[in-house]
Amino acid sequence: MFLMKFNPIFSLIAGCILLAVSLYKLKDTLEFLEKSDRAPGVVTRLEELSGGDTGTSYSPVFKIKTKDNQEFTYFHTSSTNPPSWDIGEQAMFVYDPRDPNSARMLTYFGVFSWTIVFMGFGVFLMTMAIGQYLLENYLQKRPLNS
Amino acid sequence: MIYIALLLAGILLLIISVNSIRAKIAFVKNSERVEGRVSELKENVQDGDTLYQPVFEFTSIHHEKFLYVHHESSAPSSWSVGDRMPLIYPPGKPEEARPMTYFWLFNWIILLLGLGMALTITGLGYFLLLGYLNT
Repeated sequence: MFLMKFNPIFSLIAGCILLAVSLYKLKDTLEFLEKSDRAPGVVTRLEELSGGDTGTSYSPVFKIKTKDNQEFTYFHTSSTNPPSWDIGEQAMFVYDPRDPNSARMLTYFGVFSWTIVFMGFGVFLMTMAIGQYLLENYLQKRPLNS
Repeated sequence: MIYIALLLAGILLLIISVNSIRAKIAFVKNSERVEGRVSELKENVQDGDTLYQPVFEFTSIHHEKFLYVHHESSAPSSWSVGDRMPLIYPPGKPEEARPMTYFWLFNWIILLLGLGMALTITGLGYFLLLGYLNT
């Protein structure tokens, strides 16, 4: 009965904090995109990761060549079994030219993942809190017939 | 495309939850609302543990006595004999009484509303931010 004990004040505060963090992350990411360079990366190998019950999973390792012909390696954070990437496959990356280690895969979730997660969860918690507050008040104002 | 699916699922959940809230509010407005009082704690034995389930007695607006057996049971009991709770039922159907509380009437609908908003934001965000990824 976790939901029965859901505290609307706690939920509202947590939701507001998550929403504020997500807006800050969004501003930060948009600034990063403005000053960043883009470069293609190629999967050069699949790293084998051994996990307990799930067995071996595979994580792609990309070689990225910058505009000034420097090469650096990007280790993808997610691994799957079977592998979702083949050796030789390409993806576009975005990185800060002064710090190539800041590279992120140029996809919606690759770039905005935490912004979306924080915003979605923040709005969810705020909806629960505001909904509970408004509807509990509404029920309290309905008089009983007897 | 997964983001279109997320957006559509979110919008669908929003429509369903908003319509459900409107229907529940209309139900509350048109229903008969009475006070129930715990008259006994029913003992249920499950896996060797004794759980207590409150039974509420209430008088309908036509002055007839009815019982409502709560769906929740707990150990130790969260209710005592004499505790009160508002009950609600469709006009003329006191046998369909249920608690008139936020949790029993609205909680799952608000949960769906929140989920719908989260999915809509995720899906809509993709289309709003796509421009930044393509430039």
